[in-house]
Amino acid sequence: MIILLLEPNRLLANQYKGYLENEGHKVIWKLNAQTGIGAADEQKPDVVIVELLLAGHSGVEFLYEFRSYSDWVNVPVILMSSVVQSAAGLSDGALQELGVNAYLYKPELSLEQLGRTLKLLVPSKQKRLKS
Amino acid sequence: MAARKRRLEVENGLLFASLAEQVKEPFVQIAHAAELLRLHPGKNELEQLFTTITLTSESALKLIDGYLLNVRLQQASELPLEPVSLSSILYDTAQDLDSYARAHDCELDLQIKGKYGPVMGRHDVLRTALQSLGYAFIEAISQQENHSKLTLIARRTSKGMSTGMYSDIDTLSAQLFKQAKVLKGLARQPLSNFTAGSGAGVFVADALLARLKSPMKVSRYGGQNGLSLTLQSSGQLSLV
Repeated sequence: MIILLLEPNRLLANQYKGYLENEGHKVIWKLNAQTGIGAADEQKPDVVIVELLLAGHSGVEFLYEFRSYSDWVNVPVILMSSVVQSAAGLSDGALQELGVNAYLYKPELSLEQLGRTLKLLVPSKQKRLKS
Repeated sequence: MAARKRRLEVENGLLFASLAEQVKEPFVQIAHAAELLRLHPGKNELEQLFTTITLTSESALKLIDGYLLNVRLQQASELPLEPVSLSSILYDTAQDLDSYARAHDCELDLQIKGKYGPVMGRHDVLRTALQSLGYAFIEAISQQENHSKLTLIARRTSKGMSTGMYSDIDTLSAQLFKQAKVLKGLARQPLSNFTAGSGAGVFVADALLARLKSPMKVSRYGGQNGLSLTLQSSGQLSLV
C-alpha cells in the first residue's frame, strides 16, 4: 500500500520508513502539513500516518485541510504523537470528527504494532468502500 | 528569600516538564533502533542504527546535564564570572554538534570574526548552554523542507562580544520567543513556528545564560535569524 508519512523528526522518520518499506509498502515521507497535502494530491495514498506536532501547521490542522477534500474522506488516518491523547486535548469525539482511525502514543508503540494497525485499517476501509 | 525559592521551584518544574516531553523522542528512537536490530539482524543499516542510538542518547543526556547544571547553579546566590576564551568554547561546541548535525542533514558553519581577548563568563555554563541551543537548532533546521545550515558566530559589537546561533528559519521572532518563554512547560509546542516539540534545548540554554546575567535574545545577522547573547570583554591581558 502507499503510505503518506508526516513526521518532522528525520531519524524517527527513517526508522518508520525503513520498517514499512521492508514490509513491502511504499512510503512517501514529508516534514510538514503543506507539503503533505501536495504529496497526497500527487501520490493518492491508501493511508496517512501523521504526527500531531509538526513545525508550523499542526497535524490537526493538516487533517482539517485533508478531510475537506471529498476524495480523501475515506482514506484511513493514524495520528501519532509523544503526547498522550488526554494531554493533547483530543477527545474520542474530536478524533472521530477529524476522521482519525487510531491515535497511537509513540512511547508505547512498537514498529510491529504500527504494522498490525495498518493491516487492520486498510482492509476495513476497502470493505467500507465496497458496501 | 521564600518568594525566590518558590519562584525557582515553579521555574524548575516548568523547565522539567518541557525537558521530559523533549527526551521522549530519543527514547522512542532508541527503542525502535533496538527493534529493527532484532527484526533485521545483519542488515546493511546496522551502522546507521548504532549511530542513531549513540547520537540520540548523547543529545538527551546533554540536555539533562544542562538542566541539572542550572539547578545546581541556583543554589548559589551569586555566580562568580571568570575570563574565558569564547573562540575555544565555540570550537568545542561546533565539534560537539558536528555528528548530530550531519545525521540531520544540517550543515554546520563556524564564523569567528576578528581577534579578541577573553570574555567574562563560565566555561561550563557557556559550553553547555550553546550545546543545548545547538541541538535545538539542528532539530528545528532538520524539520524544514529546504535544508538549511546552522551558523555559530562570535563577533565584536559596541556592547561587547556577541555570540549565538543563526539559521535561515525566518519564523523565529522576538515576539515568538517572548511568548514561548511564558508557555514553556505548559504548551505542547511553545515555539510552534520554529520547531515541533517542546523546544526544551532553547529553554535550558536560556535558563543557563540567565545565571550569567547574559540573557539570550532573538537577533539578525548576515541575513539570518538567530539567538544570541552578549558577553563583556575581560580586562585580563590577551596574548593574541
